[in-house]
Amino acid sequence: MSQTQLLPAWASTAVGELLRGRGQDATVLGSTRVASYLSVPEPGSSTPVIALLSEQAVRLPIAVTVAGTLPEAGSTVRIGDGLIVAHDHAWRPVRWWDPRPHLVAGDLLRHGPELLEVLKDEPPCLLGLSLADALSVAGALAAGDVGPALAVIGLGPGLTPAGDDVVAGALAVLSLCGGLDDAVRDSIRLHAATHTTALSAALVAAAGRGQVIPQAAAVLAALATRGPSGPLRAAVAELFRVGATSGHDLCAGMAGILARSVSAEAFRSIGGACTGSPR
Amino acid sequence: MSTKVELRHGIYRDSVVLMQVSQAVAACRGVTAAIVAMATPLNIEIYERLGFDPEAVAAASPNDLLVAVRAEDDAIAAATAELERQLAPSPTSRTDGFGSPPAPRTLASALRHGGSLALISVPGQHAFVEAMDAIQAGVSVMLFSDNVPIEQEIVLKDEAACHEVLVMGPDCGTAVVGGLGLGFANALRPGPVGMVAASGTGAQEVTCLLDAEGVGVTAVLGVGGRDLSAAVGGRSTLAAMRVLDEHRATEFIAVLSKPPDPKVAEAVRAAAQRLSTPSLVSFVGMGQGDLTAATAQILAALGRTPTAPPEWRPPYERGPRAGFIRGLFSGGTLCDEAMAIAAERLGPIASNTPLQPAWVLGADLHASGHLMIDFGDDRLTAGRPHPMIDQSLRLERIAQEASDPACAVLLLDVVLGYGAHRDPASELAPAIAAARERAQRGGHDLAVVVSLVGSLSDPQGRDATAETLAAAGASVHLSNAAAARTAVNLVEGAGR
Repeated sequence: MSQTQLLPAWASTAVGELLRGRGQDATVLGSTRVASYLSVPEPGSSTPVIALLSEQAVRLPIAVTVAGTLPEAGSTVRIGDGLIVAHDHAWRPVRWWDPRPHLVAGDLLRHGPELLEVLKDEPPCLLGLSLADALSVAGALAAGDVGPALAVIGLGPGLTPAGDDVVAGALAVLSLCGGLDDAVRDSIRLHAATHTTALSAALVAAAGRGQVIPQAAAVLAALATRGPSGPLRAAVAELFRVGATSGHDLCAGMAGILARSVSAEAFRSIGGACTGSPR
Repeated sequence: MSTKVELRHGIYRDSVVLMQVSQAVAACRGVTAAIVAMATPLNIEIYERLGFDPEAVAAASPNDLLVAVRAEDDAIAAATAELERQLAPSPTSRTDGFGSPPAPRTLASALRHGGSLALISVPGQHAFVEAMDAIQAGVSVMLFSDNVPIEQEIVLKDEAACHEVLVMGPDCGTAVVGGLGLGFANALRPGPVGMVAASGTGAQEVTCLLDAEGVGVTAVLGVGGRDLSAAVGGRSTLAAMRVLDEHRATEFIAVLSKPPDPKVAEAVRAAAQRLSTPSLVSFVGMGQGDLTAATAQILAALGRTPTAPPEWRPPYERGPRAGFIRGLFSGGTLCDEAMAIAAERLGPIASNTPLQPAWVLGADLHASGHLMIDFGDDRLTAGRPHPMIDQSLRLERIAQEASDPACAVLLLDVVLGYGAHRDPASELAPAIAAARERAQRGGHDLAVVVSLVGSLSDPQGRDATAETLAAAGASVHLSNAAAARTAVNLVEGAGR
């Protein structure tokens, strides 16, 4: 430690428990230009994966944004006792953020259907799940049916498959509105643990606790505070810029839950305008 | 026909990149099938439907990158080369720190753009160098960092005196300068009072009580909790008093601290006598006045008659009950004040920050009698957010206390303002309601008393927060001293 450089970090409160717990070794599952993903071995820890991000990366709810060089895939990083210690760096959180938006559920549900209206005006996302599929998955989840959600976990080529993003968006809204059944949450969490990437499974689990990326939180806040449509459209546009399809799929999952108050006819006509169906 | 199937570990690429790689490779001459995707079970199914060998990926994990190409024998090499080219990371430069050009990367370069105050919150061992740079550049410093050695604090404050600037801190969590709240600060109206405070939450409490009376501030200058120790000698307190004395808009100077070193206290009182601006020096602690009394003195000095600080009552209230007070605080000074008030009438109060050494809590933070815990104490915040931001530890403890039949009164503080939790009532109110319900199921009646520190303009909404907590069954008080006395009244004379 005497040669280790101590650097500042900004951490999500979702990983606070891990950081303040006893020290444990985590393995870097993989890394990109702006992120390293660490697998946390401790059974029962609040998240099985923690993301170390550079400033440019999308601020994941299970992340710590750090200065300095990110650790490489395969290396070991020690987490706990208030520090993250890599080979030649250590980070100490000096600032924290809360990834769970604080919203009035009634306001969100009351104005929620407007999100679908905004989504309908957007060009379709050709690479993620179709809007019809996303609405179908979310609608089933809202009714307590986990089957369609389980069927799309792991669907898509990327690190956070498109199906997972849709399910995460839906779970987050259900959690924030107090409508997420523990059995539904656990069922999806357990399925994701073995059917998708570790990072994506961790993000789905975080969504089940209402924890989302800031861009998704901004969309929900714009809905709940129900200003003019400008801020909502701007927030949606910002969310769409996240990842290749992730922002769109998250948004579709959220809209699917919030559209519950839309009439059955309207729901069908929106779904019918899209192509494809979930597996 | 040749086939290349590979599982790669630790390589992550974006969804679209992977789709583009798959398409680019599939488009190569002689390629009949290609898939590049994370090896989730669903993607393995697609791989199998493309006719690839399931045995080759029997050991796949969803965290592996699955790479599979089938091509004519003479085309596989070119397809593989294309695959590697596509998968190579983009040459975009890697980031190595916060901020990106042209944002300033050092205090010196930031100060070239102007400025008169540097807020420093780097880890304590690096704070000295940054603070010294700022002082020598002629700007005042708010040093949010803790764990700065006291010797360095003294050197910084002496250097600041040479440059006629101020050092607020170290471990200074609250300041209001030029109408701008820094660190944990409430939204305060402008007004005549300038405050020098060695206590963050103490300053917040007094300024919010003043705000409730319609009295605002010109500035709140924090000086750090050690400034009035014998070693530091009140260097920043005395300097801040002089600054406010020269500030025309400041009509009254209030100096606030926990009981300091006696000689330093004497020096501060003597300095106050020499100010041309009316002033009040208030040392809050056992046997001394409380923060609410100090506020009343300030109001009286301004020619105002203090009114009783606001309270919000729960729908149903019961009288005194047998048992003990369990105080769970996020603000150190608020905890100290509550302990001082309670100890005068109830005797020893166990704590992690005890008023007397013999009253110290064990490492498990449990005691059978009255106890008060400061969850904001450095030893409990190492590596975790301050309890004003993250209430999880306190929420857990509320649930534990509800199960203890000896706990008769839960005493909590809630601090609003910038930097604090965005909606503490959204978490605390359900926890309070659940605690009271659990206690009731256990056959005892649990009273909850809340000390609320907040101004009318705070982003969380002072009154809405109070009403939510009261509706959950708490008795809510804007005065911390009143909250402590309410708690004491509920258990006095009923010790077990």
